[in-house]
Amino acid sequence: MVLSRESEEFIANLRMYLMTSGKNDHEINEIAEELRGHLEDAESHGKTVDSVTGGSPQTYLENISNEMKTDYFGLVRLAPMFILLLIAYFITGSAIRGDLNFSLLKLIAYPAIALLSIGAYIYFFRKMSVANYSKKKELSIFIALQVIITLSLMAVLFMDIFFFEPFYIPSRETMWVIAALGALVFIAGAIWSKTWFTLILPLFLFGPDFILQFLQYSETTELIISASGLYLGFGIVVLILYWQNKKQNPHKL
Amino acid sequence: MSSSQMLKGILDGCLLGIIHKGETYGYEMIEKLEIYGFRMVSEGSIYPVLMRLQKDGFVHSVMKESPSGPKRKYYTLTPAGEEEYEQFKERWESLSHSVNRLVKEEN
Repeated sequence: MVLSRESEEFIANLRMYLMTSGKNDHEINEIAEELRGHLEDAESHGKTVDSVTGGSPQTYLENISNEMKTDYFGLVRLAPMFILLLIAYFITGSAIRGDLNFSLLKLIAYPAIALLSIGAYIYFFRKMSVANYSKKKELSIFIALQVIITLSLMAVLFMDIFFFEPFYIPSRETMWVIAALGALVFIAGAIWSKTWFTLILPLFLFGPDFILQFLQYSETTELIISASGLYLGFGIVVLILYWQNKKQNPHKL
Repeated sequence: MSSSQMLKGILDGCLLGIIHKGETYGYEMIEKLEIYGFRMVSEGSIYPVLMRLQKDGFVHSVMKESPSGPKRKYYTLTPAGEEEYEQFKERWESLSHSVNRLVKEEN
C-alpha cells in the first residue's frame, strides 16, 4: 500500500532524527517498519499521521528516542573509517597532481573545518527532521552551508600559499604511494558502507587529475578538463540519486 | 487532569492486559483498547511503551508478513510479563478500591 506524502516524510524524519541521535541501525529499522505498518492501517481507516504523533512530531520523536539506548559503540566503530575517508578526500587529489605538502596551518585548519561542517550538518539534519521546513528552505540552508564550507577551505588554501611554509614535501614516488593508499581507502569505504557513490564520487573528483598526469596539455586546458569532469561527476551522482529516490518513493518530490 | 494524562501511568499495565489476551500487533491493540472505551490522544503513544516493555523483558515480538496488509510486529507476553501483569492487577485492585471509596463517600 502506498502511504501519503506526509506519512512518508514522517518516517523519513524519524529515521533521520534517530540516526543523528546515534541510535542503533537495527532498532531504527524495526520501529520505522512498525510505524509504517501502523500508518498503512491508520490511513486505510481514513486517519492521518497526526493520529500517531498527536500533532507534535518533535515530542513524539523525543519520546521514541528516549526509549532507545544510544549506540556509542556503534558510533566509535564508525569513526576510524570515517576519519580515513576524510583524510583521503583531503590529500588524494594533491598527491595525484604532485603538489602535496604539509604545513602547520593545513594540519590544524582542515580537520577543524571538517569537524565543524560535520557538526553543522548533523545539527541541521536534526532540526529539519522535527521542524516542518519547506523544500525551498531546506535547499537554501544546504547551499548556504556548502558555500560557507567552500569559502573557508579556500581561505585556508590562500593563507597557506602566502603565509605558511610546508614542513614536509613528500617525493613524487611517495605521493604516488599516498594516492594509491587513498584509492584503497575509497574502495574499502565503498565496500564497508555498501554504497556505490562513495566510490564514484572520488572517481570523478580525482580521475581527471590522474588521466591528465599522462597527457601533455597546457595548464589552462588541464584546469578546464579537471573542473568540468568534477561538475559532470557531481551532476551525474545527483541525477542518479534523484532517480533512485523517485523509484523508491514514486509519489515523493 | 485529562483522562489521557491519567492513563499515562497505567498504560503499561493495560497493554500487558491486552497482549495477555492473545498475540497482537500495535494497530490492533489500539482497536481493542477502543472497544474497552479507551480514547487515546495519540495512537502512537503505545509504541514508546511497547519499546519499554520489550526492553524490560515483559514482551516478546516477532515480525510477520501479512497476506493482505503491511508487515506487522506481533507481541506476546514473556513469563516475566505475565508475572508483571498479575502484580499490576493487584496494584490496580487496591488503588481503584481506595479511589472508589473516597469518591463515593464524598457523594
